[in-house]
Amino acid sequence: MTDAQLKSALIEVRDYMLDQLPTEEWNYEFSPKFQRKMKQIIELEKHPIWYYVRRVAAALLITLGISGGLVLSFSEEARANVIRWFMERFTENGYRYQNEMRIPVDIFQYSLEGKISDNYQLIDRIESGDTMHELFAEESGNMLIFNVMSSTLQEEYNLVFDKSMKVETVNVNGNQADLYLSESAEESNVIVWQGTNGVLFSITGMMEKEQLIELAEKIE
Amino acid sequence: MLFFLSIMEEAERTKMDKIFALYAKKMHQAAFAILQDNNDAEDAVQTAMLNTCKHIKKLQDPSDNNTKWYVIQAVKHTAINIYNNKERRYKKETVLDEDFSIEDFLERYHEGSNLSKEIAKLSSRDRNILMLKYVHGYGYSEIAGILGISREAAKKAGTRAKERLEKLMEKENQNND
Repeated sequence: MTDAQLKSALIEVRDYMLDQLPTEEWNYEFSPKFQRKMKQIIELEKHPIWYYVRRVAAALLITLGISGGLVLSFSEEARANVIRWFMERFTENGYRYQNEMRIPVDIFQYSLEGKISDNYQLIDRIESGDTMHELFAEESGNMLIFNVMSSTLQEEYNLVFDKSMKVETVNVNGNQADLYLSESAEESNVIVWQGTNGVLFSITGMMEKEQLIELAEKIE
Repeated sequence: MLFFLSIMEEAERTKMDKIFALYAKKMHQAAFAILQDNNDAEDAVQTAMLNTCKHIKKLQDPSDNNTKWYVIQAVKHTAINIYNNKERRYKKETVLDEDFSIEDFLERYHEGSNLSKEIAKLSSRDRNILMLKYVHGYGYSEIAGILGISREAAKKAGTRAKERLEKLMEKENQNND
């Protein structure tokens, strides 16, 4: 007896068994509870990994939420440490700037107006304390933001970016700059650099990296 | 993060969708025949569908006899387990055997080859093991998981059943000679 013969005989028996099943229509309406559960099972087939990840994540979240909430509600120090921990863990592409020298700088002297392509129009300019922002808009609707920041001693700036962005180190007028490039052509890229006087600059816009570098070099 | 659920064209429905549409009522009917209770029968169908989902990759075509046999056997196996668990809970002696749900092939199965008649005489468990191994292509570990037995038990039962059939066929061939 070969395996093929055995298989053929098994199929004969199987088909006979199936022919013996009742042929009349079984008129039964499944309960709403059953239909809900079946929907979940069908979802399990469509997204098996995500289904289990969601369940594990939900369980973990509940556990963390309950235990974490108890600690945070009683300790101010714990709250401060947790916030700092989150910033460090989840902002891997964050740019940390620390200005050790107290240099009085007139940050409001800086502007991209006149240096950027005529396609971009200045929409708004905000000067406030140690920061200046300029907002430009192109005819097509693309936006561009120019930021300038100075800092007093011991202050830190954390600029938070999407973790999926690619980081490149480039040069702007002899100063090291960080270029954050999006995965998608429909999202903005960012260039961040520190000027010779310690001032921090950043330009955010839907531009190629060469365009951002060229624009940055026009600032100082 | 955004989650989008799209409405699928008929051709793109998942296998589980199709299996549910084709066999859910038949499965409920088979389970009801054993359990005589609609809620228990729904539980049996749900458990059987969940088990089917775990092995969905092996089921090629939802409309072929392989799949039909698989889901019907799955729900019968589950229904019998539910029935036996309930009976034990109420400390009753009656326990169903798998063969309870199978027609008496010896009486009715006059067609088919001699080998298929011998297969019909096997216990339901042995027949299911051979079916899963040689028709569906499952390994003994997978068969053990499906039937809720150990791998060793599945392999032993499958090997012995096959050897028994081989001996019977050999004897028959000798008698014919």
